Amino acid sequence: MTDETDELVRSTLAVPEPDQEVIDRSGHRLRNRITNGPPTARVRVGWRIAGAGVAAGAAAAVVVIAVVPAQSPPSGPPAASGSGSTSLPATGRLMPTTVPVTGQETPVSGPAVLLAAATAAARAPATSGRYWHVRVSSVVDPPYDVWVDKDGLTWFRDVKTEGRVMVGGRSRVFRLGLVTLDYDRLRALPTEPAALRAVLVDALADSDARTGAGPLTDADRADGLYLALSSLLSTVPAEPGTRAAAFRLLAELPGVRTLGPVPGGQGLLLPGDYRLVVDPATGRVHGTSFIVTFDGAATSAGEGDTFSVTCEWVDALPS
Amino acid sequence: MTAETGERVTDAELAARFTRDPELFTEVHDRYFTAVYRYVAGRLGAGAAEDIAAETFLVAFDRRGTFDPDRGTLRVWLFGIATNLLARHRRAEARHYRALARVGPPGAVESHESRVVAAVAARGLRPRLAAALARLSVGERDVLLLVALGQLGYEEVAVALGISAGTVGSRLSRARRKLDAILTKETPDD
Repeated sequence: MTDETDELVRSTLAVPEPDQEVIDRSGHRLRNRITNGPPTARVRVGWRIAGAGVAAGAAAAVVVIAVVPAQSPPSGPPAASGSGSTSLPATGRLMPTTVPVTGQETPVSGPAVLLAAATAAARAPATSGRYWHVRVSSVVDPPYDVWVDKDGLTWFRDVKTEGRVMVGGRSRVFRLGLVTLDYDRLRALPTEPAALRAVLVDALADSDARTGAGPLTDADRADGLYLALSSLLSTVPAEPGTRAAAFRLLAELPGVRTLGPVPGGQGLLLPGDYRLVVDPATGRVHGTSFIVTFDGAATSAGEGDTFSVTCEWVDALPS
Repeated sequence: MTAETGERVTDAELAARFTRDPELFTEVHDRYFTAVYRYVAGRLGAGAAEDIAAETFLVAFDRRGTFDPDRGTLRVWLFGIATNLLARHRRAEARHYRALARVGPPGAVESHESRVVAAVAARGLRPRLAAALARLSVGERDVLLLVALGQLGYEEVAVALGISAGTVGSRLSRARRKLDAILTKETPDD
């Protein structure tokens, strides 16, 4: 019987030969790896958000950051980013963090971290300001800053602008991974976990986002919920009650693993390989492995890495 | 399945070559990509498979110094890496089987089905088989699918997974027993 069983399994799961393009794309990635060596921080070709018609000059919605060879010193400028002369103010509080994949002892469970963070987030005062400011940095990439006001005007500052704040494209939506919400809808998100989940699942079902492999699959949509929650908590100005609900929802969902204490808080691994660094005492998220910026560009930290992220309302742009 | 015609360079020779010249690792890709892809795609569906199959070769390249031709073939080594990468996508894999259980497989890709398999397929048992695959333990599934999809032998599976051949045998017979139960069941009269 066993031969037939195997044959039946084989024919049930069989797929056609890969297209030549699939083989070529893989070969291309391999040749890049051979040339550049293993990256210490890597940016995958991420989500191509359909209809992300922002950032006037920016043709592609997919950002590709220079792949930094492992041998370059972490503190040095990335190999491919020119002189690297930035005049960014050193804030001192933006320590890069790396989440070890294989955590040592794990004293606190994932749900316990998330529930503590939910309590702290619910108590946080509602804040506001003229500009929502997000700063992202990593072990190898210089920090970049993005501001957006409530009319969707954006500004940015990165290594290429040499420390100057430049006007970006207009973005009337905030991006929670594959889900896009305008400011009013974002601020009106439910403060109850089940209701929040329902809204995000509906929005995912409607999403016209695509991945590099084509339209979203069921798996993409399932992981998309975790990505949406991770973005909601790390990079957008959601209300305290909504953030608390997002933490509670994550605590209820299966598959969230704790990575133990890491710089900046507790490391969590979500299905879909998304990592978060959560400070349970403040309910803030200090690190994330996946960033979707206002212009729809998606960047992913290297395996096991997280970007350090801070965000806050401010009333003025830097001069 | 993947007939390696043409070049008769052994794995040991190929390994010696890419140790001298990393560029030659592309030959490993040329030779084994399709096999790895079909294994991964069988478990995850074609959509998610491309990235993991590609990643398999990136990881293999990064770890090329650890390949030991005395322990097993390149093919076995690559299937081991792919299986490790698949472990991070258990939920996606289960979803894939459940999707097959709902809609059924897209139709016979291989034309040389045996009579028994064709009969089983005709009785509409494939969706139930897919559902049963989703219920196997991870260890059982790894072993069964390395054999059934990857066409590895017992010893090779043991090397790929870093477990004993005895464990391979017991997991495989458990997995097959569970699936055989599906095959021998009467057709549900609904």
